[in-house]
Amino acid sequence: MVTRMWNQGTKLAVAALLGFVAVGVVGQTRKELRFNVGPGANVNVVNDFGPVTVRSGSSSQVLVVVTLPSDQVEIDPTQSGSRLDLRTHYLQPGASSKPVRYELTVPSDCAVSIHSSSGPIMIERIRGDITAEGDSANMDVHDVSNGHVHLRTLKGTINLSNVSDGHVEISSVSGPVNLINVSGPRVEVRTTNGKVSYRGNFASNGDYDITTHSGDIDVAMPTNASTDISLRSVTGKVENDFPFQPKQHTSLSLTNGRSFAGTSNQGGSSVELRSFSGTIRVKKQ
Amino acid sequence: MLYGLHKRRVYSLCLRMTGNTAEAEDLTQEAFLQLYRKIATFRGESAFSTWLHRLAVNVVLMHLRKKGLPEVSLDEALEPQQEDGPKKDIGARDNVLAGSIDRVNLERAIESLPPGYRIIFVLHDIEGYEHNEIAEMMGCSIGNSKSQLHKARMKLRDLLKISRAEKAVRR
Amino acid sequence: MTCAEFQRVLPYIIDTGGNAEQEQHLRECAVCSDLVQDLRYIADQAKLLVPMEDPSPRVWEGLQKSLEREGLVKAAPARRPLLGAPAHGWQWAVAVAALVILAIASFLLHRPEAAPLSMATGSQSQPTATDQDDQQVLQAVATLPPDVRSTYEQGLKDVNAYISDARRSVDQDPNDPDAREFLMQAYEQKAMLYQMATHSGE
Repeated sequence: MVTRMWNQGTKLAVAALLGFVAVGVVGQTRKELRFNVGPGANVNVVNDFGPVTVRSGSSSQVLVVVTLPSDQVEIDPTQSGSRLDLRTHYLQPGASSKPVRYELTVPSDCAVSIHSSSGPIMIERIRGDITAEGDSANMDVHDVSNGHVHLRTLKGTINLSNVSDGHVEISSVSGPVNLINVSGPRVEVRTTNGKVSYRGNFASNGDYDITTHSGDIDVAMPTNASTDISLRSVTGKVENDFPFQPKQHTSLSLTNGRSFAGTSNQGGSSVELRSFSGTIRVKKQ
Repeated sequence: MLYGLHKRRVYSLCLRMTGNTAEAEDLTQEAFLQLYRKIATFRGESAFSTWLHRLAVNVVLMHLRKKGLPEVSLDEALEPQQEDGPKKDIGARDNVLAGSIDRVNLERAIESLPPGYRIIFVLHDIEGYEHNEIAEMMGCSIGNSKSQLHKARMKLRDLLKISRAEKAVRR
Repeated sequence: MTCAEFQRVLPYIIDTGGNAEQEQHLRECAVCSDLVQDLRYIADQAKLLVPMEDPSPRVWEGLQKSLEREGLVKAAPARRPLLGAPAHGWQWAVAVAALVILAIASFLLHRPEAAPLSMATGSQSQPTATDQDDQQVLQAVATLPPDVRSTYEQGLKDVNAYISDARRSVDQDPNDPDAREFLMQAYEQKAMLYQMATHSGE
């Protein structure tokens, strides 16, 4: 889970912190915290309002730089071994209207879990599992591999690029989802009316499953992509402009203009694109 | 509502794995209690029934571990020359079972399997888990899982043939 | 290949198939062939064993008591109204709503094919459990900033429209696996929204 239930009594001593720096800026406070962690660390951030950026660094420390808008808000860190929880704590009601900015540098194999209602959330060059959730947070995840990526939003825009070798699960109600060079054993995208765009070659002999209610699905893939693809829109349209080899025998009920099944090259990856009423377009990249 | 929808499947699983009604009822109750505690962690990444089913399996396995019952006998896996079953099938032909098993006899035979065999058989042949999943759950190797499953099926074959022979004698 | 050699490897090949030599032995040896036939028959029959027995009522009684003791449910007769409930009260209400949604979805996807959807989910004229749960979700986010509230309001409208379309589709063709999958995913979207509402309020 992204969010954590806090028990004030379990907070560890400040002795876990190294190098605490507070820099005074007009109306703002910048704090820098460092935490020693072991391999496979787990970092969780709950920051309802404000951006969270996570990048990988070369050390075995987690560096947290927080910009606080006033003295009415503080951060509560709790560390237990290699598990680190960071939570923004508003001392007074009304203080929460001002955003708190987090910038984290973590070991590349760190698992990261972020909750930020408004975001934006940006995560890059991580090889651990990534979980992010935000009601309207825009999320950008780039250059990650080997870990699972789980993203949930109601209306934020989700952008993924250069993601590979893990399970990707994205769920958005109305926010658009843009995937560029995203591949893995399983890639799953679910939206209600968010538009989904995929640019890539559906690599890794994976299972790719994109389903929307009314959001359009746009796919552009290179001619060397190896796919076993099926497209279906219950009441919308299917437009195929890619040189697939059509499949005659398929469990999909084939209706002209509303569904299509075919293969390209060796048919390595399974690709299912489904929309209830949106338009599904597939074309050459 | 959740209890009503899933109680039968969870209870059947617990009963088949333990072979004991009272234990199965306690474990069913514990499985649903854990479900209510953990429901917030369900993110919909699998079907809900799959998630609940896995939770119930883990509850039973933890219970068996606490009892100290060997879920899978690793010793047997290390003594491949002492396998039971195959010898008496070499050179002798028997009537095949096909068409002669009814549900009641099969359930009874499963109940009388040794616990280690029964658990693997229930997980694989009844509940549909793959060997790699069973190996992960039980902390054994995939080869061990396959070997135990084979012995379970061989034992069931013997039990069912005995049962069929007894039936024939009674007629 | 001898029968002993074949039966030594049988555990590892029975479900996946053997090499050419093993398959040849299987074709030529009646004893091993009968053995394999029996073992596969047992495995096939096991797959047909359906759960037949219910646990005794004491299981439900015990479960209820444990849930009340842990504060996961309130004792009968009725839930207290949301307004004025303790701080955690609405969180549990929303979590129960998420449970109900998932339970309804699970039931709908596993019910006998012939049973019409409208019977399973209540009549159109009366508010269903999920309408009341929507109201509780909106009350749960009522104290949040206006833009967050409107995100949830619009989100609920969108997912309810999805559920409505998917239900109609399943009604029209109960045998369409895509229609059932759409309905399940529509409910999962709603469950996600409910869960996020609980997180937003913490």
